[in-house]
Amino acid sequence: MVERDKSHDDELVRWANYVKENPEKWKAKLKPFLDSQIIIARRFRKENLTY
Amino acid sequence: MEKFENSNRIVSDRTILDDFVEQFCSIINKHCNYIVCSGFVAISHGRARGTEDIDMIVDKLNMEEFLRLHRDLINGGFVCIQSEYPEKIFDDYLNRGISVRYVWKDDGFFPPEMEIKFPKDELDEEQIGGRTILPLTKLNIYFASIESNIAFKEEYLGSQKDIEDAKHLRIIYKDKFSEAKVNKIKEEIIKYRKNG
Repeated sequence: MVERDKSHDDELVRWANYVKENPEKWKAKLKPFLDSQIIIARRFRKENLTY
Repeated sequence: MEKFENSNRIVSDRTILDDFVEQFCSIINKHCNYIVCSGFVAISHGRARGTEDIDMIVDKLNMEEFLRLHRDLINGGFVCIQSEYPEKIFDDYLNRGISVRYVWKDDGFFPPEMEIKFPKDELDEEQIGGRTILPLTKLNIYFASIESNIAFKEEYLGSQKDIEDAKHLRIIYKDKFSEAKVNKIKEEIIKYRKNG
């Protein structure tokens, strides 16, 4: 397994600590990221895939 | 679900995945015990990564019980990607240890997906037995325990993504979970999954 560089791990820890210390704030910051993946995936598949 | 794309008004912090998983679990809960496990556990605790599917293990049902569950899922607005025939879903997939995927009914099979399967062994049954609601998620659904999720990700799944998920959960639950339980589950994973 290729190890990712230290900055990646630093960011993982920084964000996890933010979530832990800001239980009422983190969700609003993450929601656009989480929702956009679903919305874009649905749009792409509807436009490009046939079932 | 165009309603998500056309709305300019944010009414809450709930995500599409939150709505999907709670709708689905509310139906499952009427029929059997279940756990949500793996990636969505980390994501619902704030892990910043994507997923299109949510993993669920449900009690092993017989055909009649599954037919009733499937009918409720259909009436609740879900469809199964693998087949529209519940007998086929049961015989060709679930009863053979193969998972199936349900999505919201639409003009195709689009994410998010719920991947459900029956317990593979005693280890999965123990996970269901130890199911818990995790208040930090603010979701009214049952999860596998934090110890179980950490153990599976570190000892069994083991990809970069899984190791990072486990690290995230370890930070969120620092001093609030049992390392001894994690190690005990890891020993069972070795017994049942690696040496079994």
